[in-house]
Amino acid sequence: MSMILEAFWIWIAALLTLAIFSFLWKDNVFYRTAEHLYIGVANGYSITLIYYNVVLPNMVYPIRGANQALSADGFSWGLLNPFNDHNYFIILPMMVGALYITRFIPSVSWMIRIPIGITMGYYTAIAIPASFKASIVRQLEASILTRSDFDSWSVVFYGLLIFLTTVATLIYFFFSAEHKGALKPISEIGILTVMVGFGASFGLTVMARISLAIGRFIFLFKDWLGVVS
Amino acid sequence: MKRRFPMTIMFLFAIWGGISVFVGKTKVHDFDNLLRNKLLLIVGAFAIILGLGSLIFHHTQKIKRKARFWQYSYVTLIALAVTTFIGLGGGVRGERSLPTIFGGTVIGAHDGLVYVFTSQAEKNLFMDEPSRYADPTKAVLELPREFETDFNRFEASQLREEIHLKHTALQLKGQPIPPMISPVSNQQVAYKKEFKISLQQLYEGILVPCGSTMFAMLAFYMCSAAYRAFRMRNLHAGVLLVAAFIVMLGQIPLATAFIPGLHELRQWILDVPNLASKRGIMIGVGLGASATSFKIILGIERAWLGGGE
Repeated sequence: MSMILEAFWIWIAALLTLAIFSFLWKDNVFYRTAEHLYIGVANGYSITLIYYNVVLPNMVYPIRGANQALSADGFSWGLLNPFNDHNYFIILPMMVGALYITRFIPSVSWMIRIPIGITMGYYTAIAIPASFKASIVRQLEASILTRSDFDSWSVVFYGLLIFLTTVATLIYFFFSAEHKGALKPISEIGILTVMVGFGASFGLTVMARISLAIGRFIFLFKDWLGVVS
Repeated sequence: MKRRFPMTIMFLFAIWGGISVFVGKTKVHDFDNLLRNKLLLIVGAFAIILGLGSLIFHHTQKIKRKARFWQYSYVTLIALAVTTFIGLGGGVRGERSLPTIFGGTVIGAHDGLVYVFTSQAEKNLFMDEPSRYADPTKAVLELPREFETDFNRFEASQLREEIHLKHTALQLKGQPIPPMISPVSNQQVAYKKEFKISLQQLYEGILVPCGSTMFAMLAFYMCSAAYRAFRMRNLHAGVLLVAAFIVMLGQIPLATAFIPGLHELRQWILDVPNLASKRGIMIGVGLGASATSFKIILGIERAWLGGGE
């Protein structure tokens, strides 16, 4: 039975792989079926994961536990303490979250802005120092040469090259001043650096996609057809 | 009211978020952890209802209006319903109750202890309320905690042997064997492994092949787009073409074997000019992201409020 089930899933995966690759020929019924199947399964998968990872541990179990504690010991203020494992406080964020559903009721649909605002306000605020640190401070730190870097001439040379080309890149993206005079050659070095970066990114992306394609072909020829050992 | 109230709430939570970043291990920090790891997760979980509602509404409308390709909307809706049913009924690894596990199972685990049940009804009770069975006198044997998170990893023969030893020990001590415990056969364990359709199988059988094939297919389109975009019309396009070519060629073992220094050149491109350009872009992105965040918090950027009043 196990072999049959295994073969069944391999056939499903192989047929879906071929159905999606068939789009290379042209848009067709097999591709569209696989595409719509993927959307349905992916959403069902997300629902299940959210149910098990968020709904059950953060909503169902705490309230169920609080109900049991209430029926066993009666009311206590601890049942409203959000730090307790079992509490009724979480009903409050549940009510706020439920405001998302107001989107479907035109007369009160503006209330969806409340949960969006809470999420956006909080995460935007904590993102500022995080992004400032990771994208600016750390990058500037890494660009600065320190005394120990001068132990090796190759490190100094490449370190200086990276620093100067980083500055050139920044100047290329600096649009508050017209790129003429001294800025013109610097911004030209900047655009050349950016082009090398884009080329490298493109090359890496293509190779990653080709690796995936090779993986799919190995699956088809080895796991499905068995013509490659 | 309809715009100012949400903006005020957004501003207050932004202030709280800002304060929490700079506060050490205090009660503020504890509450912030609770807010970030629990309360906001609960709020966010409801957004799935919005997404799900929109998806179902879109496809039902498409079917109702007989729009172009409306037949495929049935595929999406049926796949959504079946996957959700299998996921919620059967669990991520098919460890929950029927009907997604055909034939059923009589094995359960809780708190590092393995239980073997005499009936499916007993198992269902266990799944609903595992704490009822946390009594060690009812335990059959003790296994490592990871067993609980991955039912499929244990060996049937190993489990059977452990149960047999436990039974023998209980009999030697003259203790009764709890009624909910019964010896487990290879057949039963294999039964559990073989007769289920779990969410994990849907993931491996449908999501992984579809997802990776779609991304793999992009390789063909990127190559065709590159052919048109990378023609050496000027110096900049030429530099981009040469860099991409070296990076791609340098990753092929056959090419690096025949062209000496190619691998080193590729690595140099990645480590020096590529790093400099990425660093410049990242600094720009960081400044832009911070500025946009401030604009949102201060109410200058209001696109998130949407249209209407």
